[in-house]
Amino acid sequence: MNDSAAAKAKAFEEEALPHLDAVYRFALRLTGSPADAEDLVQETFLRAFRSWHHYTPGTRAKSWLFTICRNAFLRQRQQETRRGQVTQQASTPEAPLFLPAYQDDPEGSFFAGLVDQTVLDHIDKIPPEFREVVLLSDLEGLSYAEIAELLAVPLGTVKSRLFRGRKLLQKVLYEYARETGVIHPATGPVS
Amino acid sequence: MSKESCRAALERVYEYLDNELSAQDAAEIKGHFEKCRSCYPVLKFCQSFQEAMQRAAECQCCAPSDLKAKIAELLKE
Repeated sequence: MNDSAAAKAKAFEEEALPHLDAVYRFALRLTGSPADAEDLVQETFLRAFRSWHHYTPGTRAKSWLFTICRNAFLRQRQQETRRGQVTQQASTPEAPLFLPAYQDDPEGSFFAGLVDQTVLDHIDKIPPEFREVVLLSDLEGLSYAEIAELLAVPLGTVKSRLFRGRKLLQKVLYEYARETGVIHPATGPVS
Repeated sequence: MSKESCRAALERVYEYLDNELSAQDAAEIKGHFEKCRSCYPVLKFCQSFQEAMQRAAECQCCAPSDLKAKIAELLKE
């Protein structure tokens, strides 16, 4: 390995590899399968390494890797199936929460009664375009501006998808809470 | 409270909780939630949801231990 290749490998190891866990989690949420996530992560890091010269050292490596990961995922999905319909972009609804849940439990106490893994599992139940903004914001802590850049969409789209995505997530969590007795419709959360 | 100020506060409740507002806008919305009896519970509900998400974020899994080794091998090729 010559000096420049060694420097590249070292820089990549120091800046990109520390985000392996985050990229794996992102890939797992996108694909829904540990095996597919591993393949996607390997492809992501291979592509990132090959295009390392496009990366500006010291900038947001995590967002950059997420972008590569997402693009690779979309390419794979396009190859597997021709994308049918794109879910229509919803306009921002007025209520920021899922109303039936709010009416049953105005303080949202039932959220505290849910196991963390249950919350994570239910993120997979909302449509992909909403799921990705929720996980990038709520699980990975990216700012709206970082998410907009990563997804190549306007800031307003990030806001409206987050708004809608969180409501959808509240809906599926509420339905789960009712099914499992964490919350009773008439009496609210079980203490 | 005017319907317009309630609508503005509810539309931006997540931006407020996500610290995405300017200091001035955040102070304005905070003031509204503190005074408005119909909007305040909505803020509390959204905060409960946000707290559940934060707890879930902390318990996320890590990449399998052998994946890093696989990637290291891949990069050598």
